[in-house]
Amino acid sequence: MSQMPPPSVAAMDEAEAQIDLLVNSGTELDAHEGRRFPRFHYQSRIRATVYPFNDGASAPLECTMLTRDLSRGGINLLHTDPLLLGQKIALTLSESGPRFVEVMWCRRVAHRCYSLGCRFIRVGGE
Amino acid sequence: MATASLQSRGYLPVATASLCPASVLDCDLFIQRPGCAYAELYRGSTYPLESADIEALRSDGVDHLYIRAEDANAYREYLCQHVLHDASVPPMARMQALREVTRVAFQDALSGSDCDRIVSVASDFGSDLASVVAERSIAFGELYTTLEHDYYTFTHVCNVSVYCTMLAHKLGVCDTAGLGEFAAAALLHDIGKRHIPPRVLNKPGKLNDDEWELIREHPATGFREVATRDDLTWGQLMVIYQHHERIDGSGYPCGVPADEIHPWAKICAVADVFDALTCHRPYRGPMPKQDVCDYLKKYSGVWFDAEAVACWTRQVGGEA
Repeated sequence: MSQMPPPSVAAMDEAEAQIDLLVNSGTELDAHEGRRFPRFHYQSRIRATVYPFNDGASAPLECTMLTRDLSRGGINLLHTDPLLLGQKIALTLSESGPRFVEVMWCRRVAHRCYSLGCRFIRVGGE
Repeated sequence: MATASLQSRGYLPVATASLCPASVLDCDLFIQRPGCAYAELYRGSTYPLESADIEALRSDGVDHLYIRAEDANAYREYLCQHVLHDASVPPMARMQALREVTRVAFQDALSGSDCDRIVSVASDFGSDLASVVAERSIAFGELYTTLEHDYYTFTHVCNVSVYCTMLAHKLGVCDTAGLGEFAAAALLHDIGKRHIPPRVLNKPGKLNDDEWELIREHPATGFREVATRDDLTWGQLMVIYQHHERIDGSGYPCGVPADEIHPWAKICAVADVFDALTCHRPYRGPMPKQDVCDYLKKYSGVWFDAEAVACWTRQVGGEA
């Protein structure tokens, strides 16, 4: 993770506030699904930095991903390639800086289209 | 049935083929005579077994003797010393010895939560198995009769490991280190099943949707458990994660198509299905080898890698 400096606490807080704003203004999905946090439609195109598996030697990959839905706990993304469980991604959700997520599951939904279930994480000992 | 009964009374079966002439096994050996529900003393400890004794047992159809469960360590030491690393012992006998040596250690490790121990046992098993397979050509028919086909956890992963190693060797993987890594990975391929309740794993009837969901999670669960270890290679991790992926993308956990599936996982998929179908399960008997080959061929290039299926069915077909 050394290739990208972790965002400051203030930036993280601002990113979280931005997520709050998004989830509070959205339409709730699966209200009776029994999830910890309700999910909301959030369909957008965002910039992402995909880090190599297990902090491997290869460089992080800059790309664009599509979002599907969002909650306080995580986000569902669409990407052209499969990612591995535990892989880290930095997402630019707002002007305040990147927000890190970790891939929890990955499923192919169409040709060269993978749905990624990700949870928000804090990095850099914050 | 008789074996299970003796095991429940504290005896462990030991394969007659794993016993070495003129060697001393430092524990008592027991025999179960036909029609008897109990084991009687066959040979006291420190008393050597001669070739004629072993030959007599074989000609009488006695393929197993028994030891007391508390003597398992003595038996393991005996196998390591006299059988496993002795190149003059036939490959099948060494293979059986290896299985016996690994069985107890692996089951011990599985019953605990110590992942280090599980990986360590698998690694040792992989190295030894690879050296046996790479050393001499093994006929499938002989191998098949040597293996057990009961689908207990250890039996299944052991069989899959042996099949994977043989298949990889036949497909041209010749370096012993690579074969050893693959063998170890195949022994670990179902490590995620440790977290599935036995009532689901051993359910005799049809699984409901929730139970299927639990089963389908095991590759991802296993992968998560070992993904950050630095003593497992990329290929080994992919065997654990991708052995239920299918060539046409219809597999799980991710549904990736052929070009995203690691070659070892493709081989493991063939070996895994072959063993699962040829084993006795609580809800059905074993399928004949030829029927399983027909099944693999039917889905060759669709679910299973065509080259691996062709190579494997040639092996089985040539010997069946």
